[in-house]
Amino acid sequence: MPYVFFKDTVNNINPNKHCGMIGNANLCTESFSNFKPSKILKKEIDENKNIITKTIQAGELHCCNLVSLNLSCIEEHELEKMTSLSVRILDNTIDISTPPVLEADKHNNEYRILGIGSMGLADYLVKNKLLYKNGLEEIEKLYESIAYYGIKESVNLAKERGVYPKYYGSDWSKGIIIGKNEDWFRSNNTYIPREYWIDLINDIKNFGIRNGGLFAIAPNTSTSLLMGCSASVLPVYSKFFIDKASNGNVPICPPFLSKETFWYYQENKNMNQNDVINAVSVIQKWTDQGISMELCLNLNNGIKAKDIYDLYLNAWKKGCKTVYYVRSIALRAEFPEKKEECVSCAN
Amino acid sequence: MTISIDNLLVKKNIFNTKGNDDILNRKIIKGNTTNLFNLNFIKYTWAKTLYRVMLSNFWIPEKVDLSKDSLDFKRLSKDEVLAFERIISFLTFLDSIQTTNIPRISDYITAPEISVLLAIQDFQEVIHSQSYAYILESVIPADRRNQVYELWRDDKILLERNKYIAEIYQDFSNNPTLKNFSKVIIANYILESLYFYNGFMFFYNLANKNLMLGTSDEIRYINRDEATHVELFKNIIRELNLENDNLIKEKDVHELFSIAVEQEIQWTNHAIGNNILGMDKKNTEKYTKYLANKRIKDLGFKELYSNFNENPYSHLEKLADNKGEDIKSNFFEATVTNYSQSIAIEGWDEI
Ligand SMILES: [Fe+2]
Ligand SMILES: [Fe+2]
Repeated sequence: MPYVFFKDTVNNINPNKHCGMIGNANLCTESFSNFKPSKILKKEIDENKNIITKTIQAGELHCCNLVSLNLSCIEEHELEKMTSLSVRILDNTIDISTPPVLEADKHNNEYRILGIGSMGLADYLVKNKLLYKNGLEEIEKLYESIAYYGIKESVNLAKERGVYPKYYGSDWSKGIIIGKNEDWFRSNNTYIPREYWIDLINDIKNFGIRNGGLFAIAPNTSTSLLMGCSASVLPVYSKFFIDKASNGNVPICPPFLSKETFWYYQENKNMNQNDVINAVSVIQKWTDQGISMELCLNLNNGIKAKDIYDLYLNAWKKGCKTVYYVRSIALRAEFPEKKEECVSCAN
Repeated sequence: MTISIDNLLVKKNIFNTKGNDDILNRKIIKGNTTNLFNLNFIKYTWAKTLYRVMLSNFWIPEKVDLSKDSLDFKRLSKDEVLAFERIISFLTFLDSIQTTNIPRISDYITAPEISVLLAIQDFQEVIHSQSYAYILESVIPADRRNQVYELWRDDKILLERNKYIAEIYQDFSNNPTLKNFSKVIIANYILESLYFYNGFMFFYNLANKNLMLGTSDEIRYINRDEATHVELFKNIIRELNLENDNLIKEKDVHELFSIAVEQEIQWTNHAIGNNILGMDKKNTEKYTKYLANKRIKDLGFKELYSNFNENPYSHLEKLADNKGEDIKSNFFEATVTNYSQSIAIEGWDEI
């Protein structure tokens, strides 16, 4: 299935819509910002030196600067410190590194876009004795907190190092945070106290912000294996499976699997994918860029064409920005004689 | 011995204007079909599901990259190389005669929905032979290839083994009695459900050591197809018994299976023996008898070997991904083998 990019949703809450638009995402569909192709204006030839000189109007090319919080081993009280640190690490990265493509280098310096993501969400929920599908409140609290701490640190950086060059005229400068203005915060309940958010909006108005974007949640399929946690913000695929990559087959079990936690680990291969969409849409509410949302269709659970259509439509309606890889589990040859109850979706 | 006309099967006509396609009249054998195929008008409803599964399993051998396998092949032990060659040769031969045999059975099948499944099976056996050839050509040095192709008759034990099954096939073709039909159906079930599997386990065992991963991808695809062939013959046997007064008898199943099991063990001891890390003669016996018991019980008959109900290779079967959900592939790095073509999904008109 193709990776789907909901261009309308993406651009409606693009914080930098004052100076461009977002036409596409990176391959994993989580990281994006304004994009514009370069244009050749003229070519000149110096026949004496046998040299052709091109004059190019500079375009803009988004550059992914990514880091991920490993939620499986971050305690709640460490969240602020780790998020702030992530902002500083990535902001420094922009200064230290030089993308090989000039357009990307220029874009990096003008927008200073970061991509703070996370992995191990499924483990985090299990640690908190929550089923993935029942974790929506905890998830929202978590990602609202990450958003708050991250933005706050970027404002601190603005005080120290100045705002990003394209800041003026942006949503941030108008007091809009991830599509939400002061009125929104006054009329909606949040986990971070309302006054804190309104103070932050005022701080941005006074000091500006260092980064044109801050959050993007990468798939981390391989990295999470190295870190020993579940991938990205998805449920675990299975309580025991074999991960197949280019140089081998690795048997994988979730990190906290034990007698006590066994029933808290919901297996994605048997889950209703709307539960994944629900979780991702809650995270999306507090993520200014995208989330690599993978869906998993187990064709043995009677999935019809309309179910797939409905999943995409539901993802769009709930405000998800993209749908990344859709994995399918092929039809089995053997027909089960009697319907077996799945071990971990039955409560 | 004289054979009564009742016991002789007659090839179905190709063009049969007096045929009756009424579902109530439809029979697996000795029916009167016009051969008209209509998926919406079938007696054996399992055939429709199986049709979709088989079509959605479509795959192409060359889409699996075997370049790394040819490097791995140089790292195999002498015994592993020998076993590899023998098993590939054996499997190539089996799938090749299967391609010839299936249409001969189909000649007598008078339910169109089952004939079409046999046609798809036949096509898949072609793909299998070709994929073994692709593996062989990719990893085995050019000067060895022809010898490996010819092992099926140059290796005495292998020849003996192939003779047994091929003669049952040949007998039915020469002399299509009901008795021989029953034997050929059981032999097919045995070939599809028992004969390949120690060979498959050999490749999964290599994959378990992170060797020959492309080959194990090919095997996994083949394994997935074979599962549908087993299911097909299992269902054919069940329906035949309902319609023909228990044509396929437990006694015959036991008899053919016990010979097949002995030969499978003998062959595997010859090809794999005790010289390959992760497999040995004791487990070969355990696995073969365990598998035979399972296959026989699937037909609703009594098991043949008591005390052989434990699978010594369950960790290798995990790599076979029989359920299609044990392996999670990194789609950037490795071949995803558990996809389905979109035909697996129904209800496009509801959108
Ligand atoms: Fe085959
Ligand atoms: Fe087969």
